[in-house]
Amino acid sequence: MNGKKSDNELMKEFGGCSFAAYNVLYERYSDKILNFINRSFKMDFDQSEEITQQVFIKLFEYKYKYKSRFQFSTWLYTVARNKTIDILRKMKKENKLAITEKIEAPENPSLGVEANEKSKLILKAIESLNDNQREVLIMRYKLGLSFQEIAEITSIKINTLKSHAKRGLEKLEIKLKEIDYDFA
Amino acid sequence: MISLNNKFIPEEEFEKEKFSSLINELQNLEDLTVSPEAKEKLFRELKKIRPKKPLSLIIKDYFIAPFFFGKPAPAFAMLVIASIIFLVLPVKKVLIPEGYLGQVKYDLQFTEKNLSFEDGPEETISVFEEDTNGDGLYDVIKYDLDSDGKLDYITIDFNHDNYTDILAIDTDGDGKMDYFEYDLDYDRNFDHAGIDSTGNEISDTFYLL
Repeated sequence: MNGKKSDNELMKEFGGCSFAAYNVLYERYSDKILNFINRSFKMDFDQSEEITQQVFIKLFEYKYKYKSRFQFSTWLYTVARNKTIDILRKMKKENKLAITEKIEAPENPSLGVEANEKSKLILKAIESLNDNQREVLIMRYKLGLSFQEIAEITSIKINTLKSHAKRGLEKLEIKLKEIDYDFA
Repeated sequence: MISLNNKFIPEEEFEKEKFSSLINELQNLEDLTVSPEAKEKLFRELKKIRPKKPLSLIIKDYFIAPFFFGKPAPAFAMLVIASIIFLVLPVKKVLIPEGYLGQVKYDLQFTEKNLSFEDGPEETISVFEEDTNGDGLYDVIKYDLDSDGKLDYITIDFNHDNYTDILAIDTDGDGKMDYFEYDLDYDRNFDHAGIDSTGNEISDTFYLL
């Protein structure tokens, strides 16, 4: 039944002490947040998973305080983005930068060898994009967010985002053509 | 493969035509999954956390709700106590006077004036962010771009819509804000500029933008 409820309804139930509602939200968003952090910020898998946990701890702490002025997903992605940027800054300041030079795509046996290889090639090409382009492409095309939602999350104007997306796609296409990527 | 999100609908021409196959590849990018161990660890952590109830909920639960659940005596007593507190203690209203710039912020990413910048070498930039109303989003951001211990830009989001409403810039490098821009109607465009010529960080001359 919970699966059919909206995010805000679930948050309301969670505010009324329904841990089941929190669990549904976790199941609904944990993988998305993990993918967002890992793909957009070039974090390694363990770091991404750790930040994802912190985001959901934050969500837990906001049990009573959360107000549905924003769409829930927008709020959650914004918290994830802020948290990741905080951690990146901290790591850079402490000279403990553990960001992988490459965005590693962990092996996933269910995908088959070809799909894994294709993912790796695309991730390698995405690595060459600048931070803004990479973030927009992942949010827009991998996570399926609208430009309006991305604008609310990143506080960047929609037209600027579209420009980042278009330039990112152009650059990505060139990179993939250089390595004879098979689009079929 | 199960996609994380299948609601993608192309909005722009370039998405519908030129890049459709590339976009398809991005959508099919391998999905990562949070491990069950991570979930277990998280849920163990959650047992140690006790979210703090806000005052409004405490009032609702302990002062108002008992009236409706057949416990009028304790509820009445609590209301009397609360009334005494509110009558005796002066209620201090915090208003933001015109020209007050104690909390202002500079928008480095999304102003109409394209003041965006990309982080250079991070060790030369210090950023101080504050979430003043506790909604999980930053609404005051202060920047010391040259890490000299003096703020160079500050921005504030007054109405908490995640967009900057006031921007302050230290133009002469003395650490005091002397140029300000205001979005008074919250339409995400700055419509007034202010200049402080006396060094007290309060605008004394205003201009329409």
